[in-house]
Amino acid sequence: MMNEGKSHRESGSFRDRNNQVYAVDGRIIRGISSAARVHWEALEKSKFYKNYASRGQVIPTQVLAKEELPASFSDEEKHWDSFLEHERIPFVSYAYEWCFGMLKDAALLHLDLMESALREKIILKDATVFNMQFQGHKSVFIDLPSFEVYEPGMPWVGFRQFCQHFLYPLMLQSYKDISFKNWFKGNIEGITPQECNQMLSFRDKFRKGVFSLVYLQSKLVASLGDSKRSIVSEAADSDFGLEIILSNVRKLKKVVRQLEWAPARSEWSDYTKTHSYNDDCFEQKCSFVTEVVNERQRGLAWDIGCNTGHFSRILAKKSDYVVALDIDELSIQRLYDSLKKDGPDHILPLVFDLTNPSPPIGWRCKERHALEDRGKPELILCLALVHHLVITGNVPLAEVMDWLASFGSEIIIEMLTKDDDMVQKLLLNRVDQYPEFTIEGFESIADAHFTVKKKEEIMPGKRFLYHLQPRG
Amino acid sequence: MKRYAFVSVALFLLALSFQPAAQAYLDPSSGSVLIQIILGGVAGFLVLLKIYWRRIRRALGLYKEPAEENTESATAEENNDE
Repeated sequence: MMNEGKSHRESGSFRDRNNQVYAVDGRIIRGISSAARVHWEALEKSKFYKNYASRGQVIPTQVLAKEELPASFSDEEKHWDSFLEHERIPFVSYAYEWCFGMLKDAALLHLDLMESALREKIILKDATVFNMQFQGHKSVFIDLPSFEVYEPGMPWVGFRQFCQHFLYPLMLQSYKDISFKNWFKGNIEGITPQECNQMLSFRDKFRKGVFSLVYLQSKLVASLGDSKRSIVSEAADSDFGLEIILSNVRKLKKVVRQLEWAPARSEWSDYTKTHSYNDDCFEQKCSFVTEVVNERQRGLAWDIGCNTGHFSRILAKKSDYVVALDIDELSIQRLYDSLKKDGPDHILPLVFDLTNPSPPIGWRCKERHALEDRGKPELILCLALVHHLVITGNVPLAEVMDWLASFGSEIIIEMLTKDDDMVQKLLLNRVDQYPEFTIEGFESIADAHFTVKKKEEIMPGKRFLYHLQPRG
Repeated sequence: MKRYAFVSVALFLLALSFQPAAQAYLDPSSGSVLIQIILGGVAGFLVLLKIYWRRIRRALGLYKEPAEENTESATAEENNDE
């Protein structure tokens, strides 16, 4: 978050009253109650926690003495029994920005953690997808107070939440090829059993796990919803135990593992060469970007319209962290797969549509943040993007430049003219209502916010690259 | 026999009575707990047997409720869903 220089309560951290996250001068500090401390101490001693933390799959954390708290911590904020400091996630992202493979990996990590924890009589008390983050291409579990010592007789309280936040969204995309992302943007609690059941067809009910986990669960949740007798206490009185939860976790693992998103299985054919211009031009583009990138080491960089991430990889060579955004989920899935295979570890691939961005959602629209509020980039790369925003998205060019200028960052931007094949294709069935979409128009609009540090014509009369420096 | 028949009908109604769920954040939800039991292998089957055996005994007046529990008959409660 952008929170430098002050301490504040993280607005998305309030549901569990036993802890509170504060972001202070870029540090992530969590106050925990005495009840939560008991669970933390058990977790800290456990073997599985050490293993997962050493692999970075659980957020690295240390205990912080009250004397070590930053000076900006108020007395009121110091009332917690104990404090933990978590390693900072370089850039926060949400499930509605993840490709299918990312949600699937996050789901499997959650189940692995459940299984390993249960073997040491610890359980995850909830299963919200927002407890998962990505550090580059690696999923990380961040909400340590979710681990609690297992109380014999208790069912897996987070079971239905796991279904709503992980299983059903994955099933929807796998079986129906409907993206789970828009659903999460509209409902922070994911897909209910009833909704999932309504969406899956009769044929789908015969797929692995659907009959019991979707159909039967939706019917039972509906029929027992108002039951006065708690089956939870009845189960506790009837020797409900760890083995049942373990058996459910293993079953869910099997179901999740076999879920695939069909387009992701297809060949790379369309993606190996995605640009509509010749190789010389592409080379020139690469050397322009490389030259700017090599000027100095930068912190956070964004690659907007990253495609399968060729330029994100160039950015990554001299950036601490790269956020690679593209509207096309398949491109992001390809990038995610290739990052998992070959690295590097500091590129975060996200599915993102600038004309339909992630809204701030949740309680008072403050629980989950807009992209702009999650960290300021030092360099923004916008290649083959502006014409899509202006012509396809009908966003005025002045608006696009105003938005880019709002970050106060350096920009590398590609501008096409109306003579370019791609632009002509976009204009084919449209009224040309874009008189400002010319090189002169672009330069005059950009001039209000930026100085041109470097300009290069990479395709005569058609494509231009700019390295822009913010004014002031 | 009449009572057995009533219990059977009650259980049948329970299985068929679909109602809007009243769920709070992280209420484990009875339906989801029952699914966990159903999918819980042998251990789950044993728990299910114990739960339903107790319900049957309670319906027949053969089960003594622990002091703090509500003493209404199970079938009356479960069937109270109209």
